[in-house]
Amino acid sequence: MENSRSDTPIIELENISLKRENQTILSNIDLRIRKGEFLGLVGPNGSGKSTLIKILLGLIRPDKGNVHLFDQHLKQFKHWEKIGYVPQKAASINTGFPATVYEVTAMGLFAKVGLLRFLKKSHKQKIDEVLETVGMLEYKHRNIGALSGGQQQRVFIARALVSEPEVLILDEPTVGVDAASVEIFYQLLTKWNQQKDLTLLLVTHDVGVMTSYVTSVACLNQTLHFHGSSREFETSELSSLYGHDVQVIHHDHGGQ
Amino acid sequence: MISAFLNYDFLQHALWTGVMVGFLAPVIGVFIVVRRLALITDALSHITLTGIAFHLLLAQTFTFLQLYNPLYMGMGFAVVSSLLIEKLRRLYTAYQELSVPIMLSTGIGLGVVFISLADGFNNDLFQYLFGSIIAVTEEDFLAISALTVIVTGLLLLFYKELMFLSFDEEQAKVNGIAGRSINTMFIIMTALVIASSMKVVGILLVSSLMTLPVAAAVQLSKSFKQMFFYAVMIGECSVITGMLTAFYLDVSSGGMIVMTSLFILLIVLGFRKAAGMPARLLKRREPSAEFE
Repeated sequence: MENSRSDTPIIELENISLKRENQTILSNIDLRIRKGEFLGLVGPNGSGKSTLIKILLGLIRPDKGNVHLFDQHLKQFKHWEKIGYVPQKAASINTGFPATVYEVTAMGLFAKVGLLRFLKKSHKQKIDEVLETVGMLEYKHRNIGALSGGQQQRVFIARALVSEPEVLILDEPTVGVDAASVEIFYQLLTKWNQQKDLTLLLVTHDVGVMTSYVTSVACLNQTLHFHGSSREFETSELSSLYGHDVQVIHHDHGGQ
Repeated sequence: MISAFLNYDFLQHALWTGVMVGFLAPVIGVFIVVRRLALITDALSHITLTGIAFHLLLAQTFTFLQLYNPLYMGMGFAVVSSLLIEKLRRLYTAYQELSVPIMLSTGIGLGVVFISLADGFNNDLFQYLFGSIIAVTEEDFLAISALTVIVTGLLLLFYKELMFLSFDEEQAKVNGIAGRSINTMFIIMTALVIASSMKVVGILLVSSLMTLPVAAAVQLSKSFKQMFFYAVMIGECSVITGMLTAFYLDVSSGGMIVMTSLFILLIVLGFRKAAGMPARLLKRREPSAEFE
């Protein structure tokens, strides 16, 4: 799209393989994500999507292969503030935690602010700004546990955005969010992608409307089956294959 | 009543030591409770007793040890076992609480062996079990003062990181927070605070001073910062009221402190209920307004 986008990948996965108890979870994954890309990583449940993300973030060590972030090997990589990560349905958090939306969002700045330092006025302004962006500013002093799932998800996106990352990684951000809101959410992501040149990696099992927003698609099921532009994906056979799955999943959600 | 209390030097030491413990225990307790590891305090306090029993046993043979405060041996045991707990917690990521019963039984098992080898309970050990303000020495007072300064300083400096790690450990690590070293530092601080609260509240009751004020504070606070304010207020009220009543009624200080904090907790719960805000309402979800 724009000329400013360089072709050097900012996330580079090289020949990643992982086995657990003799079962292949991922095999020989090569994936490059370039600056400004909006990549949808799709695959059925259990295809290793979240595992691949955790490998990329250094939370799981692969049996084989290398990860490079911003041209640096994962082991040497220190600039974690450049990467925002919103985990799957914020699974690891504990909703009884008595923290306000403000306090949770501020956490996203802690690593950037650094050890033994406190938040400054400019940081507090930044938190307000980012809460405004996700439409949660009016909930600033609310308890995180008292919000709905979708609202919590927006706070976690705000937390990931507050350090002004260059890449935002979202793992199943739309689970439990109704269809109309999903569309609006994707429009928001597209806006950030185009206006702020934010590189996006979106993990989902739900191909649905996603393909009309992302710029490229990667299909994962232990190995990478497809990686290309979203237009190529829509005309490929895989689209109908994955698309079929989606219908079923949609009905499941509707029934709840 | 308080002025009479302050006329005795040894009681002054006891009171100020109590005030410091009433601050330290709930502050550490806030982080422990939100991490759902409240029982860790029990494991560590029992291990502290094991260390104290070990010291008393050794002192029977090596008489020079009688010159030293057995609390230091207790602290040593608590610190070592806190590191083991942290190690076990990493080993059993899905069942982190399993680290607690493992250390708890180790502590009690070893402790019982040491105590029986030393020919049963003596008076010294009894003080450590239930706490006794009369047993607080000037040395205890000085040691706890130093600990208060160090722990408060470290908690202020690492507040952000500790809060993030307690809220979401994985995410904190992704953000580049040095989880392992900060967790280790925190668990060592916990061990030291528990060991030093021993004389005032006693082994069996340290965990209550770390959890009961926090349990009441959870009901009152809207933010994480407020938790500390309420927990410390309630902790201090409990310690001061408990110590004064224990002295005048001539009963165990630990027992009175715990009874006071329990009383405050009940008032808080009753107050919330009367105000029409039972605890479970805190959990109620807002009508959803998704990504509009």
